Amino acid sequence: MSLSRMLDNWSRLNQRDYYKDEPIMWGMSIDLNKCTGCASCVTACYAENNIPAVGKEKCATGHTMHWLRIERYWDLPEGEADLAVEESEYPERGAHFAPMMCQQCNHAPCEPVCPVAATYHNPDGLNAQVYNRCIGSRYCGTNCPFKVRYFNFFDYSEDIPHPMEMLLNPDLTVRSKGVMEKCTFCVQRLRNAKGDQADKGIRGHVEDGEVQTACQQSCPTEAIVFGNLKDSESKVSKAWEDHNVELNRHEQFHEEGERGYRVFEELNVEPSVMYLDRVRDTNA
Amino acid sequence: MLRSVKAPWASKFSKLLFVVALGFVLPTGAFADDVSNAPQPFEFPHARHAGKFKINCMYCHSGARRSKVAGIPPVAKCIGCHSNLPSVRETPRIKKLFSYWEKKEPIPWLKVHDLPDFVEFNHKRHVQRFIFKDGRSTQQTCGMCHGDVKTFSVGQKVKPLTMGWCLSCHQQFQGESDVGLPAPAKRWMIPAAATDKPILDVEYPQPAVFDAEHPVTMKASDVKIMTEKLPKSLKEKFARAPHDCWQCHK
Repeated sequence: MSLSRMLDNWSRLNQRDYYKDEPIMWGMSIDLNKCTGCASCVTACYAENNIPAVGKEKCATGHTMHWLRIERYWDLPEGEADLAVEESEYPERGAHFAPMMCQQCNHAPCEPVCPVAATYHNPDGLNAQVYNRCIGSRYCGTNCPFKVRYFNFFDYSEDIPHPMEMLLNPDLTVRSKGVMEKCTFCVQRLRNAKGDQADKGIRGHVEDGEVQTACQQSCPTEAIVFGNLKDSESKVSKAWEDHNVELNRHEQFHEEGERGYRVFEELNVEPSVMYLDRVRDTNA
Repeated sequence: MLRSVKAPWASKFSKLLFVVALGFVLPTGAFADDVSNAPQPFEFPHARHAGKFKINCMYCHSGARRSKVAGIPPVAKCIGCHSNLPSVRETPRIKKLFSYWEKKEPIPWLKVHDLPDFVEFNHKRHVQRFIFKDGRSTQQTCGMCHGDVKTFSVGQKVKPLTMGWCLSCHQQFQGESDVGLPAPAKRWMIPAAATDKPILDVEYPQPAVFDAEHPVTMKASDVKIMTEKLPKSLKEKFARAPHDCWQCHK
């Protein structure tokens, strides 16, 4: 690698508005106040994206496979130590859930470490994963701070009994052994929506609400909002604006009533997914 | 003594020769999963249907204009016409066709134009664009990838259908908005990547069968000369290059 190429890459890395001329940047907003932890998004994700259900045993041995997982947190009463909780009459304040999928980072740590460029940033602001190029080095999974990349340790598709393979979604690849995979924001739906628009002669614009991700579609409380962040009229960009969350800022400044944050903002990975913090009654 | 020294060299040379010979044989021969020359249940004469009677491709492959896959017609579609054509009813092929109809079984056609599972080709986008928007003829449009089907007595693959071959069209015909920008692969290379080498280094392979009627088979340099001469309003009409891998691989 020559010095000039290194310097060139460095300047491109610092070029924050690299994608500023692109008409579409997909983003998401998840309201944790509305999330009940019902896991219908997880189920929808499995069904839409041909994800194998690996079972308890494989999960125990670290071969987990789910593009979208529900993270569970337990809130303790203010000021109480863990030990005291067990003895108190109301041991905990209930769980609080956070759906966690690939955050589609704009400065994705997984991208530069891939030895074969199987993961790269696409013009729509998505962190793409090309299965047929992946050689399974798993560097990306190691470098992901959210741990949302999953590796195919086995050929799960071979275990599907005969008529059941008809259930697979034909719009995307059935991944085989030795391939890394992750949430794609249902790229097959995004592509179809863009293709339909292009057939009508419209390029670079998808009407808000015309395309839904599987998790958003299945969410009974509509906690997940998905859309184009570059479109100022879209629901998702309004949600970002309402809660004063901006890209290129590693710490959000909150006023009264603003609950927006992005996970691990301090790492400066620029996720495209915004979470709205759950309102908790800390005094009761 | 001399022999023992010579032998390993000779075996190395013969191995090299074998590899070189293989290199010549493989590209001309078919790949392992290529069924383009495999026997079909019975011959379907495209030459007669598309050539002699000029039936539109999309009469039978009706999915092409509205979905990703063009589709193989059900037996009912064949019978729909052939039950009214008593003149050919007793020919061996039509007898076989009716035997499937009576058994209520689909005809186990072999897929000739079979892409790997990780590749997505969208028929709808191409058909909508070239036939309905640009107003080209159906046979010319389909022929870009499927060859001159109206002369085939049995389905066969005449174009290579490789990624480089797709790009031989897609990278050459770039839309107006792309003119002057670096090639897509270079443009969408990850900003923080350790290397700046373009991922797709394609040599624009020429299709297997030269076909003067279809623009795909033109030399890349000729195509470039042709498109550069066009006025701006017409350049817009040409296909855009795919921007990222996810367009076809997902």
